[in-house]
Amino acid sequence: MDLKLGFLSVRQHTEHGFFGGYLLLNHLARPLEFHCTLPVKPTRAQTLLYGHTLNDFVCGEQVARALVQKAKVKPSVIFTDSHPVLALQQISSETVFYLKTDRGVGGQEASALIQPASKLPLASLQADPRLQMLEDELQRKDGAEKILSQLRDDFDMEEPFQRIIEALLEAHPIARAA
Amino acid sequence: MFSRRKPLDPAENASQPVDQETHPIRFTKLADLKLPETQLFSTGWQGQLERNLDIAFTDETSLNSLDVNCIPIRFQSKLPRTVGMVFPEGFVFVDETEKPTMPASGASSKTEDPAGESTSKSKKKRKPKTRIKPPADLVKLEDRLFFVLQPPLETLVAGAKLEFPFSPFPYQYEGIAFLFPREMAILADEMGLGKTMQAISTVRMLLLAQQLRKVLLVCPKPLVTNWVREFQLWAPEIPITVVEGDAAKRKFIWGQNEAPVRIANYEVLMRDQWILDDPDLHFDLVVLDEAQRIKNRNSTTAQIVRALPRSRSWALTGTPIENSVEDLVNIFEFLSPGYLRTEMNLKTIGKATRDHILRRNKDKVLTEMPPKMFRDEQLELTPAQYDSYRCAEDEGIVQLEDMGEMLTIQHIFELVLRLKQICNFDPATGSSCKLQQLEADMEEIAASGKKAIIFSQWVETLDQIAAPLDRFGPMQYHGRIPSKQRDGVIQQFKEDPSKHLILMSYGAGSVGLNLQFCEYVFLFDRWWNPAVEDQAVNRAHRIGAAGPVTVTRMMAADTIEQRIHDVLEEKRALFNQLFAETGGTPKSAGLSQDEIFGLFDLKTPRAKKNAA
Repeated sequence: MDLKLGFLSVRQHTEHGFFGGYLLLNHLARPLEFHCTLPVKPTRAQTLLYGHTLNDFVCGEQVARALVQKAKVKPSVIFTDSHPVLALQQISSETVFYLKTDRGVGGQEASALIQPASKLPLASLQADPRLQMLEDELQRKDGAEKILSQLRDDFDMEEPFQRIIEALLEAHPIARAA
Repeated sequence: MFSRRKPLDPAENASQPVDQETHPIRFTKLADLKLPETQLFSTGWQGQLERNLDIAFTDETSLNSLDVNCIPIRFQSKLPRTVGMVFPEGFVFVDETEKPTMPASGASSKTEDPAGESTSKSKKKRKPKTRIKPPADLVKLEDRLFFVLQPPLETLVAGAKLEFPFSPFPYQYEGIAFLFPREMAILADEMGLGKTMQAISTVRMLLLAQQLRKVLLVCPKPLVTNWVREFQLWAPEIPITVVEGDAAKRKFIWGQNEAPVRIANYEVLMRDQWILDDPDLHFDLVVLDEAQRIKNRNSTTAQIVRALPRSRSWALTGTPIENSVEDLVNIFEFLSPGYLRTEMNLKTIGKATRDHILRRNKDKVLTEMPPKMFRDEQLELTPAQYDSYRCAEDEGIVQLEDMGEMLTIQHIFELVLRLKQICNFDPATGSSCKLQQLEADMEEIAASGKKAIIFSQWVETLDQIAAPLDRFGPMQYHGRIPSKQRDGVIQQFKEDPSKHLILMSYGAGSVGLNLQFCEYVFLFDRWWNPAVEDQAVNRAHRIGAAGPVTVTRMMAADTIEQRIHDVLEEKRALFNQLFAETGGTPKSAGLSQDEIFGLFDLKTPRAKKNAA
């Protein structure tokens, strides 16, 4: 089996900007590659010009794009727990699912890393309502659902994000909560 | 752009008539005012109002080609910088090509899931996951991320389809996660929590992950068969070799590389030191079981194990501190020479060792384990025992006092041992208050079909107990029973319903045995050190215990036994308090030299004190 999965998370720190992490796993959830960005702070001009789409631009078109380009392994599908990362799909051929998580990851230490917001329109998958795609990209749904069908029902898709957050905290101690 | 200002035109203003009747201001005719006449003179400046200004008009069409300056805002075309790592391909457990699906987050176990949870996606409860955390002394970011980014142990185990005879407890997963990344570690769980299983499972996972190739496990001789049995239970696919036999056979075994795990006892290491000096010999991991065996830094055993060439060093012990902090310092001499010094204060030692020692006790991790109840039985000596005891003690003390500066701790020991023996059995008549009570207790135990362990420090005492209790089918397990017969003794005791008690010496029976089917433990006489007593008691009170374990500590009232007990209890309380403050939890300590002299109200001779 050659199923490879990407897990991409971008978190925002009020002081230091955006931190992105990208973990690639094999079909046994073992790590193949990990990449993270240095903190990204949008400029004043970007803030003014992108307005409410700033997070989509920074998370999806900058951070996520940089991480995906850097990885040698090309995953079958990318999961993200950061809504604005879905903007990546608008500029690349990757299939990206947004997984809405209902638990905080990383514990107290990660409390300074918040989820960036987005207004990108979403559509849920029938196979798993927790997974959402960009409304405009639903044509990719069938292929994506086929990949998802290879995952066991009790596969914990939230867990890899916890690893990413812990790795971000290891790599960037400044991101830890005071 | 400019416009020409139009001159004032008085006529224009005059041409606008005013309706004097309706205007709010009352008008008066100028002639009616009778003003003096005014004459006008030309000054010339009014003519300037008629002069054309010298201004050139621009063509209106030129507005379309007006030059507007733009300020460009340049965005960085560069994407953010990234750092990353690729994981080594060797870090796999088994051939993964056969696995058709993603792993579930739970251990693969032959037994049913005790929680009986549904696998329904929406309703399933999330089980706690155990993550491997990098050791604090691991500095390189890539090395730390290697461990941080590994999946939870439960997922690793499930993915590799590693089978366990029964699902490990969460704290056992934590123990595995503790040992897995560490090059120096002490697993100091209280007896009965499964240190053996945790060590074997970690070795298994590291071997399957190709992180280890050559492992040496060193344990006391009586425990070798126990380790072999536990390896077969918890890691059946891992080949193991026991280093045993004559010198030629042992040399052959040391040279073999087929089995990744070798099991040797401490005595074999001492005999085979000349083989172990081979510069080509190297172990990826050396595990010391019952590591308190090296608490004496200068012992030959300690020196030999410290000299073993190795990459990783683990120590397993339920009593990292038996008598003093020096015990712990000396175990660390094996893990990392010079890391601790005896001069360091407790807080510093506690801080330095926090990341390298994992100790849990049953009260904290096994909340569902049957309770352990202590019953201190203070028994009156029989008249014959009393006479013998009084005579021996009085005479003994007089002799000790007469020795003056010649008095040594050895003399005290001799008297204590003699008195303790009298507390067990009267040397003249053989009468025993303890035996009488034990017989009564055993009647009840046998009637309810239960089993008991009886500990004594003397084999002679065990022999004396065996005959009167013959009807309860006593089995014997001590130094006089050959090692090869011992497994058979345990097996028979476990399976034969007519065997209700086993008589054990502290030395042979206090470590490594699993007797959790016994619900009663009798300490016929007391050991010097409560840690050893704890080890003995925990043969029965361990994982899988059938029910509550009742521990009866037999003591002859108003004797040396009572005094030793009081001193040890006081010390136990002190240690518990001390280590609760510093983060560690060793709870047992033996008697110091001063305390031993104090048992008979004797003072330690000055010369001995200086030497101590």
